[in-house]
Amino acid sequence: MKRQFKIWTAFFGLSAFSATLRAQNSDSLDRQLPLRTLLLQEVPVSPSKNISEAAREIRQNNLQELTDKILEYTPGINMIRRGNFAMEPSLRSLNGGQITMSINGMRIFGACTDKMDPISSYVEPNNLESFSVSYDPGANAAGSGIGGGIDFRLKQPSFSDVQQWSGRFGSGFETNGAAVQTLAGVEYSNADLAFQANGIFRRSSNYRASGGREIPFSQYRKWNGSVSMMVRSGKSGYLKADYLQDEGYDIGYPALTMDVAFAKARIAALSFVRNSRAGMVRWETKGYYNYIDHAMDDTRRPPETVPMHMDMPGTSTTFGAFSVLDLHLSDSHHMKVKVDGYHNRLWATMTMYPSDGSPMFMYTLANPVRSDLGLHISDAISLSKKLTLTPSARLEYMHDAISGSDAKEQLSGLFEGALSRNRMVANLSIAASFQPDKDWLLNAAIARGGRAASLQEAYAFYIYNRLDAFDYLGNPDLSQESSLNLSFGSTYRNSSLEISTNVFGYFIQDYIAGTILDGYSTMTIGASGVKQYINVASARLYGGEVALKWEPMNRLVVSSLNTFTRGSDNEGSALPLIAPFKTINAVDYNFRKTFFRIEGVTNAAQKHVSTQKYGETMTPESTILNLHMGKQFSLSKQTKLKINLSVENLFDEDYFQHLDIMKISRPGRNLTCRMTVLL
Amino acid sequence: MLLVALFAFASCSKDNDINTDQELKKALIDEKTTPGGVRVKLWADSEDLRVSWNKLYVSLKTSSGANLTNASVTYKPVMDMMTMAHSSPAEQPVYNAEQSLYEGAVVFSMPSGTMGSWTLTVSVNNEPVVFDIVVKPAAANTKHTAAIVGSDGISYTVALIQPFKPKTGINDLQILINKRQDMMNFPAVEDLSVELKPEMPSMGHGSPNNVNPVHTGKGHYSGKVNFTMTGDWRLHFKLKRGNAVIVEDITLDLLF
Repeated sequence: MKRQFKIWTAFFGLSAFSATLRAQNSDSLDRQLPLRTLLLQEVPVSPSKNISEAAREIRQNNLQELTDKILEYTPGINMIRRGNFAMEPSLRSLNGGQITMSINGMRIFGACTDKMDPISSYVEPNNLESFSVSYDPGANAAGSGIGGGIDFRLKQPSFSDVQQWSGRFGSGFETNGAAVQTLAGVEYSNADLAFQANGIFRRSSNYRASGGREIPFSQYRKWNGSVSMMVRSGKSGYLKADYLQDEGYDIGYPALTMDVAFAKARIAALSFVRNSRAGMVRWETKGYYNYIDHAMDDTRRPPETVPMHMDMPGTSTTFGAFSVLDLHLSDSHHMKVKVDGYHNRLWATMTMYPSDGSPMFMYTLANPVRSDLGLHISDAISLSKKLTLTPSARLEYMHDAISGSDAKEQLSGLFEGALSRNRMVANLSIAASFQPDKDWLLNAAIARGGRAASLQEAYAFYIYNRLDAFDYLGNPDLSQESSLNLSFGSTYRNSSLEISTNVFGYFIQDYIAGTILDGYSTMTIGASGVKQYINVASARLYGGEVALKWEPMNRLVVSSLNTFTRGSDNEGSALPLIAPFKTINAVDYNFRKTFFRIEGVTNAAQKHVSTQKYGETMTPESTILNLHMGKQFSLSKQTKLKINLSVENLFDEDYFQHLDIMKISRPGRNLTCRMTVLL
Repeated sequence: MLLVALFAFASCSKDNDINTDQELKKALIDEKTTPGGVRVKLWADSEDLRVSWNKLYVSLKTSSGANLTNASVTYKPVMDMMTMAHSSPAEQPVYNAEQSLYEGAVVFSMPSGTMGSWTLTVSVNNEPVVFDIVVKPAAANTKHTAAIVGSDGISYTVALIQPFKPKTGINDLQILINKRQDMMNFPAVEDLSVELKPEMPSMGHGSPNNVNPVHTGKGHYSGKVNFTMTGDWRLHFKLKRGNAVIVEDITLDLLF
């Protein structure tokens, strides 16, 4: 059991944790599992991960919690909330194009112009094996960004010496919103073939905030299924095929003016992995394709709130490939080289139907296409038993263009001259970790991060932003946003106490933000004006995370996870979407196969906002209390039954958080009962 | 056998196509002969003439069948409304040697119907022939010509020449401005400055990056208009002479 919670960390410095969290029943896989993170060096430290893991493990335990909630209880991650579903992760309050999000290293881009479909909404705990967070731009192999990225790792089968079958099914019910989840999964393996399939169905009605107040348009319905298969090819290689499909329907977004009729994702990959027999070399080559189809819907809204009916569909199509070589050159020298490329095409349109007059059509994203080629190298060298240095680099070349003559013609009204752009981005970092004795670990990193404008930032055509109520225009001539990231971390651990601290300062140049365009008339009815993305000369972001775990007595664990960020631009104005201080404090008690957890989640007030400039208003402090308990029963040698009960927001507080768009109240008291049978 | 049949069919269909000329890609409106024996064929870009600026062409053939290339040709449109008659703006034809056509244009300001009927008098070297013209109303939800009395007491006519086929994005814009000197004379106006403001009436929004039309000759004013999306668009024009506002707002409506 211990092994499965072991956190392997690649040390690219404090900001370079690449932690893998293994879900349940993965320890049997471990022997077979190839290196799947940046495991250049296995350092069994990073207590902040360890500590936060207890909270996450509870949530992932029965495979039914939304991925959103699992992410939300991770230090450094805050979720931007637009509805009761599909929240958008922000990493140290960086989001959107500033960070990368990938699934098994595959680049996937949401299709929704209103960011209703972050890719985290397409993975579910029952097919999510782990996610790795990298804060270091240079060490982030998935892509370029100024704040690192999150890579979601899907469950994969593994070969076994003897033939094995295993399975699971489960169901859960939540009183708030009468939400239900049903899941099932099956795994099969032998020495040459391994297969797994799983699926989940979820449904929720409108949830109720404090006092039973119903939040209209907060319902959702979705299913998610994935299969993967591995076939051994030769003695040291195997072929792996993955397919994931996720379809959501009738998803309400109370914070937005429209809901989602459907959001569909199809994600497919084919990989070939080759390991040297001694385990010194691992070489993986993958080709992938994904297609996101998304349609917004206003037909269920009350007519008086819909000035004009409109259709807003969007798609995102990506195909790509990468080849990554992990070289274990010696015990003190590990190297990783990755070559990757992808091609992404976005399409989004709006058709409006006035009650009198003809339908009106336009592209909101006029077929922008990005072709990308990247090279990533990192090299971990242990100079001594105590000191490890890891320089890393990622170079990326992008070619952006508009495809289709009608799309080009439409944009001719906004942008002069040719619309295609070439962009070159370099991310570099060097990290050091120093272990003076067995109790202490210190690390520090310096990185230069850069990122190209996203296709939305480059080519948006009157895309409405609910946060500040402005229509946004893209700007193909944006310079890359770059940053100098400094970070420092320390960890202390003894037999009963672990404490880990990270502090960071990001000094951003050419920060990409919207500025008001005078004299432009709005496209969206009721919008306050039109903004265009520009480069703000500079901005800075600093903050830190503190994680603490204390075992005052046997079976009793007290933990505290704390996250803080603060950001301001060159004029001293507060940056938007910066989460205030967040602290999650919990007491866990484990006895045999039973656990109890009492947990308080506090978000401090956010008063550092610039309403005038970025449209944000202040947010008051909030605290909620959650209770969790669970028990595992052994029905037979193989079969186990897990039952989890929880009460979230025990005192039925009326609250919302700073990253909640439009400050819609979050759910009031919610009783949850979940059962999972492992076969 | 089959080939012969196909050939026969092909030539047959060509012969039958009496209303359009394949080479000119023009629609034949009518043909007449002057007292002097010149055959006058009147052509347009489409069979339907509408309440708008219409390009009209004539081809002239002498009785011997030769093209007449150096005639002086004029157009005079007249709307006969029983109790009164009036003309409308016309651009006098100029010979285009490439197409062997005289090219001009007429702004029909109202449709034919119970109110009255249109004739177009084409004079070839001062010998008139009179064509009866059927003018259809503007297509639904469009208005390609408008007239308004300015602050100087004169009636001005604005007609859309371009874009003939509007598209989203930047379009070349060209309008023709005439004034009513009397019921029969509508000379071009060349001394105005024009401010353009597009609007989507059902949304109330406009568009950026338009270029005000400026006079380019013979009452033509050229600029740029940006349509951000398809649908109904209204073009607002403000007409000024020096600093004096002559017409505060005259509008044309487009739909695509």
